[in-house]
Amino acid sequence: MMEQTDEELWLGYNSGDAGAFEALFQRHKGRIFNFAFRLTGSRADAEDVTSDVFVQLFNRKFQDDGRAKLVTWLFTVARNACLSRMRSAKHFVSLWFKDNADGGYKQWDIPDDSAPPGAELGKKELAQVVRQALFKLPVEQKEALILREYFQKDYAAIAQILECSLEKVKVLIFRGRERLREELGPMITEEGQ
Amino acid sequence: MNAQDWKILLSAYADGEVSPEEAAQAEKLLLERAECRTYFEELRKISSSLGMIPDETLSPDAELKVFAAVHKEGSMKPAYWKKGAAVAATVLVVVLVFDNYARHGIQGRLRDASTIEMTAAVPMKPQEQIAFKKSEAVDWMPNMLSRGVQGRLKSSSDDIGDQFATSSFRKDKDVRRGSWGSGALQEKGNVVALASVAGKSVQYEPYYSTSVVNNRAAFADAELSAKSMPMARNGYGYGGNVDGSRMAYDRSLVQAYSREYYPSSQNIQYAPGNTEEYKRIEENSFFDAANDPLSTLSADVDTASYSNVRRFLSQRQMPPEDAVRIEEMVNYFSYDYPQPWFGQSFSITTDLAACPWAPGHQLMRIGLKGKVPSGSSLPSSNLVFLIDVSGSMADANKLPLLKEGLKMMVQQLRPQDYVSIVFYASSAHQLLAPTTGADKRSIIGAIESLRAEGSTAGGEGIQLAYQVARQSFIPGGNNRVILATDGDFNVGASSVTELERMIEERRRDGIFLTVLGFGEANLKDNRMQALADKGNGNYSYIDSLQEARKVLVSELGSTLFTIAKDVKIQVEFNPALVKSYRLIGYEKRVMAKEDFNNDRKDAGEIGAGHTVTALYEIVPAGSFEWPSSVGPNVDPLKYRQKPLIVTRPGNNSEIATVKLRYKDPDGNTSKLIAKTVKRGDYAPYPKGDFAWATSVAEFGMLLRGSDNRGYASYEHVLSNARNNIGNDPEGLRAEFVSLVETARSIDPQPQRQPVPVDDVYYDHSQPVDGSGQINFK
Repeated sequence: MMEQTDEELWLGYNSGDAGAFEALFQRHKGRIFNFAFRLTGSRADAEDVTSDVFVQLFNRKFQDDGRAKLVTWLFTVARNACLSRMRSAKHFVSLWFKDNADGGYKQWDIPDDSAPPGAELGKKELAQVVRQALFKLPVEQKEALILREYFQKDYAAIAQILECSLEKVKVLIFRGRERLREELGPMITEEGQ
Repeated sequence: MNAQDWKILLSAYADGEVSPEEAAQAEKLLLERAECRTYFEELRKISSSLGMIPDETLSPDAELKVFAAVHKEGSMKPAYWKKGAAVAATVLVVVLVFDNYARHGIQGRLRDASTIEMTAAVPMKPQEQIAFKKSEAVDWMPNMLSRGVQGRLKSSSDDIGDQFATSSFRKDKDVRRGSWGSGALQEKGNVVALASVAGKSVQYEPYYSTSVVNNRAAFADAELSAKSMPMARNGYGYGGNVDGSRMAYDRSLVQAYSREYYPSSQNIQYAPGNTEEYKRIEENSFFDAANDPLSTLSADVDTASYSNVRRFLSQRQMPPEDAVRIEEMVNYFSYDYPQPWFGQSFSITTDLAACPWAPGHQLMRIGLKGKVPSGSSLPSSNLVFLIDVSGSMADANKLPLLKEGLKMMVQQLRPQDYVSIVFYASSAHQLLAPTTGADKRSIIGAIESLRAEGSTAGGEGIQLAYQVARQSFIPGGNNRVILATDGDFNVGASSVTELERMIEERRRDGIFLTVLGFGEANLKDNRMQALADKGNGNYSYIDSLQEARKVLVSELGSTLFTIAKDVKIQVEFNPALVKSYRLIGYEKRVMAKEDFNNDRKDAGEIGAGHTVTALYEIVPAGSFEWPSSVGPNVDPLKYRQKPLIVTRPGNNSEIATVKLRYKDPDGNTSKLIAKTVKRGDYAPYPKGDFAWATSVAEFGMLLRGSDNRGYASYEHVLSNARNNIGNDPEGLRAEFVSLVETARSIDPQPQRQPVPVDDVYYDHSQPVDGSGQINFK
C-alpha cells in the first residue's frame, strides 16, 4: 500500500475508513508515548496520556484547517495532558521526601543500588544519570529540549506546541542545554562515554 | 558579544535555526575562538548523551489498553460501516450487559476488532426489541465460539449504538436483581432478548476466554444457574475495570462449550460476573500412615477466605469453590487455647474425637496459640501504609471503608510507633513522612486527604513503599508495609515476578507485609495471597466496617506484631493405630517432609495472640477401609514390614506426635517443640471450640462440594454450630450460623448426596478396650 500522508489518512478516516485511523495510530503511537514518557517520567502516566490523545483523535477533535499539522496537534494534546497530570499530582509530592531527585516520579526500572561506589559506571547507569538530569529540568525547558532532541522538531513547530514565541523556544533550549551541561558535568566537559 | 549571546547563537546554529547572516556569524566565531569550539562540541555531547536514553515502546498490554480506551470512549461512528451495506440485510445485535454483581457473566477484554456481517433468520423491523427463544439464540453462539473466543456485537450506528453503548450499562445493585437499566437486554428464564438494526454492519469484538468454571453442582441440574457460566480470563493481566458483559443462555451449550474447549479445568477460576481470580485447589486426599506417616505444613493465618465467602453469601451468591479455603474459615474464629507458658512462644493443644460426617472416622485437632507479649515489650513499629487510590477504589466498600479502618487503627498507636503513607494511582508518591503515633492528627489528616482516581501503578507503589520502609527502618522493631488494595496492579506478568523477587529480598531485610483486600469484582485473591506469602505477612479481606475493626483494632496486635516466623508443623502418625489420615484444608500450605527441618524454607508467620487450628480426619487402624496404597485393586505389598499391631492399645498408646518449628521474628535458627496425642485423649463427640471448628470445616466442605464430605449436611452443620456458639461477644459466630442458613437457601443442591464412606466394620480379632469407637456393620 502506498504510503499516505497524515492528512490523507485523516481525510480517509473522516470519510469512514476505519483502517485509516488504525494506520494513524500505528504510525504515531510510539512518538506520543515516548514524548509523554520522557516528559512525565512515568510509564503509567504516559500510557494514560497516549490513550487520551488517541481518544481525542478518534473523536475527531482535530480540525484540519491548515493551522497545524496532525502530528503537531497530537503533540500539543499530549503535552497538555502531561502538564495537567503533572500539575495535579504535584501537591502530593511530599516535601519531606529527601530523595526527590526525580521530582517524586519513579521510573519503572528497578533501581540497582548494589553497584559499589567508585566503580566504572556502566551504560545503564549512565543512561540513568542522563535520565535523571533530563528529568530535573524545569518543565518548559524539558519540553522544548525533548521535542528538539528526540523528535527533531523545528523551532516553529515547537513554538506551536508550546504556544509561545520562536524567540522563547530558542532561549528555552539554550537554557535547558546549559542546565544539562552543569548536571552531566564530567560526561560533557571531558571525554564522555 | 558576551558569552551568553554567542552561546545562544551557537545553540540555535546547531539546530539549523538561524538566518544566513547569523550562520555566517556563528561560523566566524567557531573559526576564531577556541572556547566557542569547545562549547559547540559540548552541545554535541549533550545531544548524544540524551540519545543514551533509548526509545520506549508501548508494552502490548498498554497498547491494547489504549486501543480499548479508544474504542470504549470513542463513539461508534459511521466509520465502521462497510461501504455499500446491503439494503435488505438485517442484522441482529446481541447485547450483553455488564453487571458488576452479576450472577451470570462472561468477562473478556477487547483484543481486536474485526467486522462481521450477520444476517438474521427472520427479517425484523429496525430498532425492534424482540425476544428469541433460547434455541434460536444458541445458533449464534457456535459461530462466535467456534473461533475459540466469545465476544459481543455492537451496532455501528449512532441511534442504536447509543442505546447499547457501554456507558449506559449499569453497575448498580438493581441490575443484579434483574432490572436492566438501559433496557438493552431482557432476560426471562433462558431467553435472550435481541434488538435488530437494519442495513448496518456490526463490529465484532472478540474476547479471549481461556478458562471455565468447573463446577459440578452447576452442571448437576438442568436449570440455568449462576455457576454455570464459562468465564474469561484476563490473559494479559490487564488491570483496571474491564468492560465485561453478561450473557444468559442455555446450560447445555455451556456444557458443550466447556467440554469442547476446556477439557481439563484450568488453574484459575473466576467468580461469576467479574474478573476475580482464585487459584485452583486440589483437595488433600487420604494418606496411608504406614507409607507416609509424616504430614508437614506451614502454619498460616490468612483469614481472607472467610470474609470473602461471607461477602458472597451476604449478596446471596454461592462463592466459587476455589475461593473457599477451609483452613482460613476455621482460623477466622478465635479459640480458647491456653496461653503459652512463660518464656515460650507457643502452646500446643491437641484433641481427638469422632468425626461428625464420616462414621468410624476420627478428627484430630491441633491448636497453636501464640504468646501475647506485654504491651511494654512490644517493639516500636515502623509502618508504611501503601494505599491504592486508583479510580477503581472509589467505591464505598473500598477507599472510604479503608480510610475509616485506618483511622480506627491509628487511634491504637503509641508514641514509639511511626507511620508513613505511600499512595499509588497512575504513579506512586509518598504522602506522609514517618510520623510518630503521638501525632495522630497529622496521620489522620493525611489519610483523610486521599482521593481515588487514575490508573494503578501497583509496581511503583510497592517499590516506593519498601524504599520508605528501609529508610525509616527500626532495628529490632516491627517494620511492616501494609498494602491496602482491591487487587489490580496493572503490571504485566513478567513484572509480577520482578515484584515478588523484590518483596522476597525485602523480607530478608526484616520488612514484613500485610495485605488488606477490599471490594469485589476485581479481587485478585490469588495475587494478594501470593504477595503476602512472599512478603512474610498475612492477607485479610475486609468487607465491612466490622471486619475492619476486627483486623485493624481488636486484632491489631496479631495483625501487626509477628511473634514467630517460618512456623511449621509436622505430624507423625503411628501406623499401628492409624490406618490413614487426611489434612483438612491447607492445600497450599503443605510442605515436603524434608522441609520441616530445613530452616531455609519459608513458612507462615504468627502474630501476637494468634491461634492456628489444623484438623486431620483419621481412619483408625482396625477398620476395614482401604488406605490409598492398598485396596481391592492393589496387589498386597510383599516387602513392607507389617506394622506392629498393638495387641492391647491402651490409653497411653500414641496416635501421633505433633512437632512445631518456628523462628523468633528476627532470628534465623528454628526452635522445636512437640506434643504427643494419646489414644486416651479421645472423646466421643467434639465439644465447645472443637465442635465449632468442625462445623465450620463441614460447612467449608459443603461449599466446596468436597468428595470427602461423607454425610455432611447443612442441617448437621447448623445443629452442631447452634449448640456450640459458646462465648460470642462480637456476634461473629451467630453471623456464621446465618451464613449457613443463607447458603442452604440458595444452594441449588441443598440436599447433597452423601458420599458414602467405604463399608466400615470392626475387625473383632483386634482387641479393643472401651475406646468408644463406633461399631458398624
